[in-house]
Amino acid sequence: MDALTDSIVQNEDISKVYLIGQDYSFGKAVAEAAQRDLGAKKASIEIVGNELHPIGKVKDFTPYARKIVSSGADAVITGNWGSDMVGLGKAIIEAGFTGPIYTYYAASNGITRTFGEAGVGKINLVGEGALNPSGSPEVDAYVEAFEAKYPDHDISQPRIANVVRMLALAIEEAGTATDVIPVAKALEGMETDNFWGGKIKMRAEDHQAIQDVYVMEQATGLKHLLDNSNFGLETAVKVEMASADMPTTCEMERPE
Amino acid sequence: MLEVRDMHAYYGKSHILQGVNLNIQEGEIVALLGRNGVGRSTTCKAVMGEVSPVGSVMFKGQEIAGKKAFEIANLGVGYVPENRDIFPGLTTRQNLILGLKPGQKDGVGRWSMQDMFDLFSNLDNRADVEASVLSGGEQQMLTMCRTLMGDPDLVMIDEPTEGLSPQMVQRVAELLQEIAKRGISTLLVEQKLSIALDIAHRVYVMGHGKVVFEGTPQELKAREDVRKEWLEV
Amino acid sequence: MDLVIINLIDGLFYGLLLFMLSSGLTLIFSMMGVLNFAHASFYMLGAYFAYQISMYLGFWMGLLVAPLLVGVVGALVERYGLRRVHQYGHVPELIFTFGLALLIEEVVKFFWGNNLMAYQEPEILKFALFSIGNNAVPAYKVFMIFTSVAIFIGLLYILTRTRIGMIIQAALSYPRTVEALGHNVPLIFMGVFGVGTALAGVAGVLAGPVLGTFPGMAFVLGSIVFVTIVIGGLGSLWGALVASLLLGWLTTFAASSSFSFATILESFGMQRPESLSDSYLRDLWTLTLPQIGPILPYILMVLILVFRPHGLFGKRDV
Repeated sequence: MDALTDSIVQNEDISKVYLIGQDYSFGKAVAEAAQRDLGAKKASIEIVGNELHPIGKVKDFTPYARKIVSSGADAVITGNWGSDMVGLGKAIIEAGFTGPIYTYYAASNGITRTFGEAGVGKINLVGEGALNPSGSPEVDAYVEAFEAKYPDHDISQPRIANVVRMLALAIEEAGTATDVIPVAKALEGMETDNFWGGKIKMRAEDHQAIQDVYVMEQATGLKHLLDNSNFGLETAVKVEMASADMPTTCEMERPE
Repeated sequence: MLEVRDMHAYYGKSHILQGVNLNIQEGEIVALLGRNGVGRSTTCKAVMGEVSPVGSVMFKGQEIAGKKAFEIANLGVGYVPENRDIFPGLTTRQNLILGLKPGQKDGVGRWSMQDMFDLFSNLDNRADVEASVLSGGEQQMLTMCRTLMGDPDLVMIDEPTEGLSPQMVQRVAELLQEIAKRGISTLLVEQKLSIALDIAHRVYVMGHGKVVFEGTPQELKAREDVRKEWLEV
Repeated sequence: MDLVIINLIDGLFYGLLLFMLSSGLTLIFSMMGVLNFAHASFYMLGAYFAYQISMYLGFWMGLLVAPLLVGVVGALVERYGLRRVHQYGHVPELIFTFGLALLIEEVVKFFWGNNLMAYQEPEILKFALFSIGNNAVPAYKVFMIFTSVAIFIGLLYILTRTRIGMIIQAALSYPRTVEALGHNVPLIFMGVFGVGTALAGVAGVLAGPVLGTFPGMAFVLGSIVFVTIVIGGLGSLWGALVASLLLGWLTTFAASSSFSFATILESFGMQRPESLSDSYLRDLWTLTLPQIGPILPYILMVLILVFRPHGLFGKRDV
């Protein structure tokens, strides 16, 4: 959210934002974080709508889309996933909305393909691990190998590449794979190369992975595509070491 | 016309018909008498194929036991059920039209719609009214006429006079005689002895799923024991 | 005001979509006494068949062929499935259709997978026909509205003006008597089941590109269709139409309103507490109408069942 709101406050065209999400913990968390961050970063941005809808129960998102368009919003932020994401996104675009829609999960698993041409330039996705452009030739090779082995799937969870690498490093450093406490201690504060480019750091205080986060836009004519379609995600904004400056209130207890 | 031999029928495990034997000749009115629950209606339904019969049912020399109801109807058996089953939402005329067999044109065969209207001016007057608002007697007439529209060679009529005024009972009796006049065989299920004895050529009395008496109306009048044991309440 | 007009149009679209499903279901229910749990699954089959056909032959062939295929599947289900189960009574029939719904969902997942299908509206209808305020009305939705109205008029004509329609109407109440008049009622049952499922198929073909084509689409729409026919009155085509439109507009307006329950609490003179987490009414303070919009149809159904058990237009008990 920090990265997402950074890119919103940098965009001069956005002064009104509409928040909509599924009525459960993640949807609420997205809305709260967006309100908090936008308010702190740029007070002139107005939240013109903040709304939750029942999860998996809405058959037709058109009325929500109508409200969004009528509110005069320049951008939408949603944490929706699955069919709620597609239904909402399609309804918003069809209702004549022209601004960006910021999302977390609006790619792959048929979603990119379903949005297709309509999603180009509108669907934005926040994530770690950008493919277009990619961070290195190794990334290209990795993605191509994955696509060759699993033609019907995409790398939708790029963090897994880092998770396994960091875990392997920690096990080597601790010299044990069965005693978890030394492994955890080794992970704490670890800073290493991010497979997707740049660095990645496990902040010691709260165990958050600090890394580059990308805001990507649905686009066509890219090197790495999703859903066996002609569309993929292109990096629009790169936020380096996102949230590194965020204070933490974490007071977790650690085993001896 | 109809020859039923050793017909059995079951509802679930209860053995309703326990070997019914009866026959109806061409143009004959045969009354089927008996108290409620002895299997008279079930006999009609079994002949019609609505209840599957075990045994033999010959109609015009052809075995019809085991055939489907609409096939039996198309062979020429008509059935007027006890509950009048006027089709709601349809007019009197539309009810009559549905009596025509698939592919049959009005006026082909023994009856036309105009005949029905001539016989019962009430139906004519209310031809385009929704039929469910007709009086009970009119509805009874309508169901009988509806079945006749299909030009059956045999009609089975279940309790046509039940709940009707004496005048309407008279109209029903007239229609039954008109049916016989046009050469159609009739199986009349009745509780009212008088009408049955007046117009029937022959009489069957049923008890406990079997035919317990067979004879002419005169013979039944002479058999007080039969009437006492099987008919009178 | 603009928003009200646009909501009326959107509600009409959604209501007519519901109608295409509920009309078939209500006919099937009143004629055969079978509550077809798999009805919405035929809607899903319509969308998937049309998607598959549209890959090779385009959207319009899909619209034409997919409902026919669905209808044939429906007729076969009636002929070789339901008719055999029928003799064992209503409960086995219910279980049969319920199982069929699960089976169809699994079959769809087996052939097409869990992902959303990129089933698209035809290019020729991919534009905004007109706009009210900033809100665009896609040409495709207008096309859908006209298609479903045409289907309704066609159905009404067949049911009230043709001989086969009269037979169907009569068989809704007294199938045995209709059969005793020499009409092939089993064939008519099969036909009605086939046509009813084909209508659901049409709805799927048309709704797939708008509401999404995915394995859960039957489940999402299924329950609301039952609510529709109960509210409208079982066996009544008019009831199905009125109830569908009613629910369409109800859910649309509820979802697009910004009514908050806090307004009611404040009108009772209550103050919004400083800390909501301590308030036993905290859920009410934060609740909005759009949040509960999707359960409004169920509330309406309960009210209808209490005060008018036959439904708005029905003639028989549920």
